[in-house]
Parts: sequence; C-alpha cells; structure tokens
Amino acid sequence: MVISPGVDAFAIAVYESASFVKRFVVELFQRPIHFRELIKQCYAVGVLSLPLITLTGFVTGIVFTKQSRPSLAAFGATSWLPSLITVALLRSLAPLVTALICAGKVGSNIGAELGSMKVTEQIEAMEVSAINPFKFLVVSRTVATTLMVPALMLYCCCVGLMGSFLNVHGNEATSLASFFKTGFSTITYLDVFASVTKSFVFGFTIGIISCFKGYNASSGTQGVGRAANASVVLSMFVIFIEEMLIVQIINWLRGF
Amino acid sequence: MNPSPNRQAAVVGLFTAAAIAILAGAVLTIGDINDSFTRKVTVTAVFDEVSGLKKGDNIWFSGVKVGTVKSMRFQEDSKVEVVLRVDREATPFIHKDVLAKVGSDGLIGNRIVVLYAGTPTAPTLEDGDVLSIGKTVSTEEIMATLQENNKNLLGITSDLKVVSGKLAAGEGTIGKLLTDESLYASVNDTAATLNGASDNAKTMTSSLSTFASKLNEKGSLPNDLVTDKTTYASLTATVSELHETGARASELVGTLAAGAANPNSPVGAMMGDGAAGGDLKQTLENLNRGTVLLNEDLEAAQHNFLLRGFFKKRDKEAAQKAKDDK
Repeated sequence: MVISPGVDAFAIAVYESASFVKRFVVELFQRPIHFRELIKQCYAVGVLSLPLITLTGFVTGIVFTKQSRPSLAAFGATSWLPSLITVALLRSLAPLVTALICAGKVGSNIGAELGSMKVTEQIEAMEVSAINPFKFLVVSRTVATTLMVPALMLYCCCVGLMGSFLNVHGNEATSLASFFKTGFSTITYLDVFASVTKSFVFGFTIGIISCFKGYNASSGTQGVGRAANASVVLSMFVIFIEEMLIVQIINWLRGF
Repeated sequence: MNPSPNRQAAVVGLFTAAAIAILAGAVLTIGDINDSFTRKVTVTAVFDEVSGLKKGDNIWFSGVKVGTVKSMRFQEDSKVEVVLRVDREATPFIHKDVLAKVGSDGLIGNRIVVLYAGTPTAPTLEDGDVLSIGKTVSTEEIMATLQENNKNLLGITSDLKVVSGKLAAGEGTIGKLLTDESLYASVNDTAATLNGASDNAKTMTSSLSTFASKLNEKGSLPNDLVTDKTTYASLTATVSELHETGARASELVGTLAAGAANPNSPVGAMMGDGAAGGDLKQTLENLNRGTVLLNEDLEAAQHNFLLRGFFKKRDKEAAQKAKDDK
C-alpha cells in the first residue's frame, strides 16, 4: 500500500488502462491483420445497430422539432426551425445519441462476450493456439467501433433531419430542398469535421473500454455481468466527459 | 443466424459507402451554400463600426447573396477594414462606385453587408477595389430616436395629468364648466332665455308671415301700396300737395310775422302796441258787463204780466210730460 487502498486501486486502474491503450496502439500497426474478423465486428457494430439508430435518430429529430416549435413560434421564428434542428443534430445530438446507443448495445455486448471468454479461459486457449487474443479480439472490435460509430452518427443525423423535415413540412409545407438549404446555411465544415472526429473518439472509447472491462473480467459468471455493466456505465460517463472537452476545443478552433 | 462472411463484407461495404455518401452530401451542401466552389473577387471596405458583423456573414446585392465576409481587421484610426469575397459571377452587375453598409437580414437576424447604388456607366467591380461606405441606420440610432419619442410621450402624459388634475379640481373654464353648479344654472338660464328669444323670433316670423300674406292679399292697403301704381301716384300727388300747402303755410306765417313786426298793421298793433291791447281789454270788460245787465233785464221781463202766461203754460206742459213718463 502506497497511499491508501482506494487511491492505490485507482492508480493501478489508470496504469492498467494506459497500458491497455498503449498495447492497442502498438498492436494496431502490427501484422497480421484479422480483416475478416474486423468485417464481422463492423457488421455486428454497424449494420446490426442500424434499426435501433434509425428509430432513435428519427424520434430524436421529430421530438426535438416538436418541442422547439412553441418556443420559436412565440416570436414568429418557426422559419428558423431547420437551422436550429440541423445545428443541434449535427453538432451535438447525433454524435451523442449514437454514442450512447452504441455504448448500451455494442459496449454491453463486447463486455459480456469478452468477459465470458475470459472467465471460461477461451482467451488463454487462443494464446495456446498461437493466436494473439488481443489482436484478434480487442483490436478488431475497437477498430470496428471506431469506424462504425461515425458512420452510424452520419446516418443518425440524416434520419433525424428527415424526421424533423416531416414535422416542418407538415406545419409549414417547406420543401426538402428549402429545408436543407436553410438548415445547412449555419453549418460550417468545422461542424462536420468536429462531429465526425467526436464520433471517432466516442467509437474508440466504447470499443476500448468495453474490451478492457471484458478482457479483465474475473470472478466467474458474476464477473461477466459486472464487466458488461461496467462497460456501459464507464463508456457513457467517459463519452460525456469527452463531449464537454471536445466542445471546448471546437469552440476554441471556431475563433480562427 | 449470421450471414456468410462475404455477405457481411458486402453489407458493411454498402453501409460504409452510404455513410461516406452522407458525409459527401453534407460537405457539398455546405460548399454550395457557402459558395466554396465558385470563383471570387476580393474587395475591401473600411467601416467606422460594424455592429457585430463577423467572418462568414453574407453579402447582399439587390437582395441576392453575392458573397461572404472573409475577414476583418482594425486599422490605426480605430476603423475596421472588412475584406469581402464577392462571387465573380455577380461582378458584371456590381460597379466600382457601389456603396457598402452593414445591415441585418431581419429584425433580429444576422448581420450582413449590403451593397447598393452604383452607376451603370462606372466600370465593374475588380479584385482589390476599395468600396465606399453608405449611411447605416444602426439599432442604437433607432433606439435613440425611440428614447426621444419616449421623452416626448412622457412630457405629453405629464401635461395631460396636470390638465386632468385641474379638470377634476374644477379649475379653469372647462373645470368650472364640469363642476360649478351656478355656472350650470347660468348656462341653463341663458339657454331658457335663448329659448324664449327663439319663441319670440318664431312669433315674429309668424307675424311677418301673416303680414307678408296680407301684403300679398289684393285690395288691401298694403298690397295697394306695394302693387297699385295708381295709389302710389295719388299718394305721391297728395304728398306733393301737402308739401305745397306746407310751403304756403310757411309763407303765411312769414307774412304774419312780418305783419306782427310792423306796429302799424292790425296784427302788429294787436301784438306789439300796449295801448291797443289795453283798449281791447276794456272793450271786452264792457261787453261782459253789458251781457250781465241784459240778463237781469230778461229775468225781469219773464215776470212781466205780458209774458208770464207763456212761461207758466210751458212749466205745466213740462210737469205733465214728466208725470206721463213715470
């Protein structure tokens, strides 16, 4: 014990996390590349999350529009709804909603999967079979989430804008072209770049935390549950922290 | 059951392509809106103040967006140099002497740079031109005018307050009119008098009407006077004769006066001679005395036996007649 059991445990956790990330970075650029496993994970993370993201994105767009309407209608500015919704969705809602949904669906999946492999000693078995389990399991999954979450975010934003358009069209009979023209009038390249970058960071966060929690699971089947739970909770927590930090950085960049 | 690895790869590839397409769409849309892919000319304008204009704000010419604000920087004399990027497509229609001002695209909208005016004979806009500045009505100026209006309004309401206070207190003519009972009574009396006057006027009008109707009635004197020329001629003749008579009377009086002035004439003697007057008076006295004496003589004659029978007989007849009348 160096300082106190709690502080020591925290310091060890930080060290282990940092080592895990370092190992990921090192092994990312090492051969062999398990391309087929990567595609499989991309399919699981990206394509299988599509229905959930479609529903969530659509509902977010339509509900946010409906809720914003009275506030803008109070001073006759409903024509600003497309810009408002586009800014809100593209800058913040779409990356955040996608990340949270993926953290819930994919994070828990990865945590539970790797956790159960760990407690059933399948990971050790892979090592025995001369397969690098970290490379095969962690790198492929983390790369898959890192690549797929931005794609899902763009898709979520698109679906959300369509939901918003339905509401705006229903009320103001705005055309699709006019809706997008007005909506994107206040959007800059920086906004798109920031959102995509943010989603890459969120995807990486979900992948690496879930893999870390699953890869280091212990204590039998209970540990699997804990690993799945911790993957989701910690991923979401870190996503919010990152969101706050990235917004600060982007606003700083916006000044140039 | 999961699809085959090849199928998975195809689906993931499609999904990724779709995501890239969405990203490309967004980039192109932004590029289209911000005119990132059109050629520009860069011009500058130096403003005293830019009312919150910022990089990326739009430039309007005749209500059409023709570019964006590229950058802004201070100059030494606290003025702001704004660099404008105007679409090359729009420059054939914008002339060098065009004016620039900072405006707004709505009441609470974004700031914009408005290009306006410019003469068709001037050369068109080119790279590096410096635009002249037009007069801008800023929100602050509008607010200042509104403030001035508010002060005037306050003054007016203050005056109204004083006036209404005086009215309520019954001060001044209108105040008294509103509150003073005697004034009301007086006005009421005046109204009653006026009413009476009106009645009189009515009566007079009625009389005048009657008179007028009589005047119109043929055969009456007024009608004759008004209409009959013969009567008028007679009256004229009468008046003329009266005039003549008056002249004669005047002449007679003049003659009498002349006579009276002459003591040798009878009239002059009567009026001017005192001795003649005394004689006349004596004569009249003598005449009066003679009359008294004659009266006595006649009384005596009644009692004369020659005449007494006649008087007795007359008395009897008178007594008898009185008796018969009873």
